[in-house]
Amino acid sequence: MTTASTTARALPDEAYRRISWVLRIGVTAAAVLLSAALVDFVLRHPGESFSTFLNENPIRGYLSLRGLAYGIQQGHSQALLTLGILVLVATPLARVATGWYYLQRNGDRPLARVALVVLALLLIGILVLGPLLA
Amino acid sequence: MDLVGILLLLLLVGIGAGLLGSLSGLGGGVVIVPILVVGFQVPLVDAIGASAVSVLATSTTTGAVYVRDRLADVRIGMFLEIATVPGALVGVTSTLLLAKVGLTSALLVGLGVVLLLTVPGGLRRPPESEPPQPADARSRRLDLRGSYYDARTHQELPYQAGRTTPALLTMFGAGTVSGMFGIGSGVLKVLALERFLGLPPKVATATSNFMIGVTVAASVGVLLLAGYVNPVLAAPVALGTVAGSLVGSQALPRISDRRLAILFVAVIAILGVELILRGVGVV
Repeated sequence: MTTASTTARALPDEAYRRISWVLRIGVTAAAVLLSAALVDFVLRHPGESFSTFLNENPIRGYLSLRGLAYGIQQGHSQALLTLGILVLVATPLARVATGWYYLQRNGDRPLARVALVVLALLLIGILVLGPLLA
Repeated sequence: MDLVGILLLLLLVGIGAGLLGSLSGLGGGVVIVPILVVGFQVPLVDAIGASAVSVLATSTTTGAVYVRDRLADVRIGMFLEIATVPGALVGVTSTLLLAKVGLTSALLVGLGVVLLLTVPGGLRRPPESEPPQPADARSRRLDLRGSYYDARTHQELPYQAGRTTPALLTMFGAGTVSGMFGIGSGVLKVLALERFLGLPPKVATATSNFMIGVTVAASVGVLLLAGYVNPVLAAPVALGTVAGSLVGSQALPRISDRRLAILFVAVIAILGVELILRGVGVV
């Protein structure tokens, strides 16, 4: 098997295992949420046409924290669909944060700083550009 | 057709794209946007949102395996994300601004051209190792090196990343294309990792896949908060693509026939031409 590893600054096995675990947990949670919410959504909208939901994005009301929290509380499938996508987007961000932690712990400060910049770019880019371009 | 029928069709589209995408090595995302636009009359930006979600789900799934098996070079991947993430943000912003000023036709032509440029990559034979590149000062300073086990020689072979500046520039371009069109841009990423950094092909492929998740997360996040990710459209395609790519990657070692890859490349070329013709108003 091919493995990319073992240099003076190579991350320990634990870092690889934990990063892989973060990715697997995130994508599994997102897949479960999206599948369940999609089935629930279809069951609640029998006989509706696809174009209705294509013309009017059903999650528009759930893109704020308050809207999402209310929707989840009420068990709205649209809120759970939104949550599923959010978990999917958050998974790589959690992976960068995990990578940063292990780089920092490994004394790899230059690359830890790079990871922090990437995380900041992701958060600022998404939270500023998204609403700005809505 | 009613909602259930369309959702099942979208699931099948995802499975087909994921299967053929993993068998050809090009990824399924590259055909999702044109199929949704041409076959389902989905508005372009919504199709890009759905495709980006599929690419995010697929690359996260496969990335987890590559990291677990230590095939992906996590340090080099995280270093290069400093270029792909801004690229993706620039790309997705450009797409949304072009769509807002009614230049969707330019985007269609652009995506058509990107699809046609993908064709040579799909027809390329599995690469031999690129010659090692001399490491530049940045690579030495950051200690961007690793090693891999070569199954042919049964030896642990070291490598050191070579020319980081052209690699970073190419990664920025790959991120921009990815953000603009909701695709993974794996072909460009692998090119930079092999040609400029001199990474072995398997390490390059795994590291590229590892990076795609973070790159696409930037554009999906922006598209989601801007209201262009419609989960009723994106969820079945994404679930199908993940399932198709998992089956494809399991079947890959048993399939040596290149005809499937050539078929997929032909589909990409036809869709590329169709998009260009739509963009210029011929269709």
